[in-house]
Amino acid sequence: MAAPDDSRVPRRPGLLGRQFRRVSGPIKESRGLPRVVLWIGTAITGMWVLVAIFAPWIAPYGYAQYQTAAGERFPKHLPPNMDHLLGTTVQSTDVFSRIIWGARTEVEVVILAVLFSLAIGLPVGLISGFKGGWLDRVLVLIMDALFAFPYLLLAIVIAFLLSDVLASGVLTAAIAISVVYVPQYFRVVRNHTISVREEPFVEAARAMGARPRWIVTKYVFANVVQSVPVVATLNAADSILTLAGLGFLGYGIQPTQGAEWGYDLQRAIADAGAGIWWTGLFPGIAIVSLVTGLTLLGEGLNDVLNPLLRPRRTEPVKFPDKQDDGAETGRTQPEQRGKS
Amino acid sequence: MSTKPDRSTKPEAAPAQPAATGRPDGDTSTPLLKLDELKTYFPLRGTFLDRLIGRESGWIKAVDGVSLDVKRGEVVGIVGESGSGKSTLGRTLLGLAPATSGAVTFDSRNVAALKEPQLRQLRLRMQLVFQDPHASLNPAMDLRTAIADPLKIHGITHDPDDLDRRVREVLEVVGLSPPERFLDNYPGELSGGQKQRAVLARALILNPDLLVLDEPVSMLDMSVRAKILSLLGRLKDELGLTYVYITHDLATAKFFCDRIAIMYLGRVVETGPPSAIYDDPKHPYTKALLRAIPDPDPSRHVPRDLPRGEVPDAVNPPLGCAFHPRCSMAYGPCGWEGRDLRELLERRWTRIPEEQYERERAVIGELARIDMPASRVEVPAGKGYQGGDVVELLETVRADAPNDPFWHGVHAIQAEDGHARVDFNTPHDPVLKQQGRVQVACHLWDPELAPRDGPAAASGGDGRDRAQQ
Repeated sequence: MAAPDDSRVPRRPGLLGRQFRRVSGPIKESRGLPRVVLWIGTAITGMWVLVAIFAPWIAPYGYAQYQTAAGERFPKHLPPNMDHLLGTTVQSTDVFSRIIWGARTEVEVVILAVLFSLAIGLPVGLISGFKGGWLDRVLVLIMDALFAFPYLLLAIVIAFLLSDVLASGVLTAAIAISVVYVPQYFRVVRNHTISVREEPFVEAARAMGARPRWIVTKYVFANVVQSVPVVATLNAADSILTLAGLGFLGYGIQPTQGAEWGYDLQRAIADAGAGIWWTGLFPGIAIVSLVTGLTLLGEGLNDVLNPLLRPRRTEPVKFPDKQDDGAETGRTQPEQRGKS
Repeated sequence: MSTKPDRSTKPEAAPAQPAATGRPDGDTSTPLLKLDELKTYFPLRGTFLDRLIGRESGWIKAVDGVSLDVKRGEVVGIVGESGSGKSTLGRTLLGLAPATSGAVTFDSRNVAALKEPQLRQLRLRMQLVFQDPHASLNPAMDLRTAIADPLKIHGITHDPDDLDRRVREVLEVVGLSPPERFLDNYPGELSGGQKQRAVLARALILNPDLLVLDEPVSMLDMSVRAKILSLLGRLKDELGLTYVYITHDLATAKFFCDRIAIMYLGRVVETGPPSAIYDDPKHPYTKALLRAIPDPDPSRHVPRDLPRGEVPDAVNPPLGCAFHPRCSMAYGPCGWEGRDLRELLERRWTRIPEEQYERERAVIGELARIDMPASRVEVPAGKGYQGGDVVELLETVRADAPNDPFWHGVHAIQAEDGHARVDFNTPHDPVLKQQGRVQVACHLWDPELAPRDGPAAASGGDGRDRAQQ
């Protein structure tokens, strides 16, 4: 029999690691337009995330700062200049600093909102799809009812209800937004679960004697979770708009709690008529670029991860070249193809 | 639960397993698995209205009264066309499909009556191998995890080293060696034969007594089939396994099985050792199946009297013998009925000239009224015709093809007001009866029903004549 040390195996990556490999493999293999879309999306999103992380070092002033440390008030409506790169607002705050700090708010809220919606939508969708029956009917009904509401109205109602309960504006906004997006995760996960449930390997697991909980966690989950990254990224893009919408209407992050692009836009409406373009343009660009980045990331992921959209890449067959020596063939190959 | 300590040392003791089992059913005289009048019906989903008012819209009789014994160490083949209920039978054996009535006795316990938690315990000892090895492996699990999973499910061991050792051993047993090459592979990276070996490894790691093989080789190509089958045969001897081998392929069943049961529409029509069944098939369906085996010699053109039509609807199976509508040797007691009359008429009408069809079709009214499983039907007359006209037409039909087995089943045709009444012979349900070395459920072999000229004459009767035309 084998020696005991023979059965020792190097540490294998755990479930998360293996899932990561399953996702990262196709990304490495991707080519062409999906790859370009994916990388542009990643670059824009990554830039904003970095900005959010390093906001205190990047922003020259605080988000609500309207005077210098010496107590000297900034001028109102100052056009972009060297002291205030993107100018100042009617409240004498620095537009550039507010955008940088705003990135932090947006990223915080979106991450929290995605986590909350995942934490609810994923397990509920799994259970609903796997159990079926009346539980599934009831949950689908509830989720469809949530889905039927205009999303902004729903978010406003939730934010309004929570504003007295929770002190943190970020948390309130995140919960309000996650309520809006839970039905989407639920739908995707539930429908996927229903189709996976009918796969022979689930019945095989039953035949092995597995309990339902084991089947769901070990057999169904890993096959369902692959569709989540795409939904999560696309929803993140959407939730930026929802957050900005909340802020614009005054139900989002309060100005005392943090900078928020939607709120800035709302304050800039009056400026636009007076030819003061910088207070509105720059927060607008920030919103558009982050939403675009996340959308491109989501679409790129979808193209790359969805096997139905992913084109099969075929390796060109390399024949040994008769004129050249064997060692040279690899290098001369591109030329050969170019000539023919 | 008491078997658990025993199991933890089993992989090493595996080859000696038949001797090592001290279970009460260890001897071969009492069957390991006993099916008794097993029935599995699935409810039919009716229309929206039916469901709304809770009306039952019928049952699909997938398995309809199967009795069978499987002895320890035996390979019992269950052979049938698609739709014969053989896979449902296999799933019912394991408690994966709920039995409607009857009993499955495995190790003196009735599987059909057990609840899910008790079934889970029993699944330590009975395992299933599916037809499609690709679909029955979780694509998101590497082989190491997939094959070790049954051990974790049953809590036999959670120690990573022990799991690893057992997985390596069982991979060697099924011929996936060296195991290092396969441990970290995902199912998508293996060939069909390798996947089926992995599925086998997963089934064997619990060291079961009974393996239900549901068409284990039908998705594999020919060269791999033989390898997997010989592996299965070797494993049976080495590990003391008992197989229920479900297949549509008579050729592999002959090679592989100790006993064969031929299924048709949820019932066993013939059972016995393969040699007896292949050399002298008794049931007309078995004969038809054997004739359907492709002949490797292209120059020989044997008339294949294949059964006409498809497997009938399992919701409303034919009266009497379920095979009679397709049987060339059927006669009086086989259960002729209204639906056969409709089929006879329609078959005729597809062959005659169109104007003759128009004429004949007008004589008979709504065909749906005879399309029912009844031994007495009233054939309605068409507009402007009387019952006598219908009788006349039916007699013409009979005169044109007097040899059609259908007419053996007609007792009387009478003209009545506005319709013709057709009385059929009383249908009899065939039951399995011993006939030489096999048991067969066919009226041709039932002395009480006294076939027309005895089975010997019947087997060379009109069925052959028609085939040679």
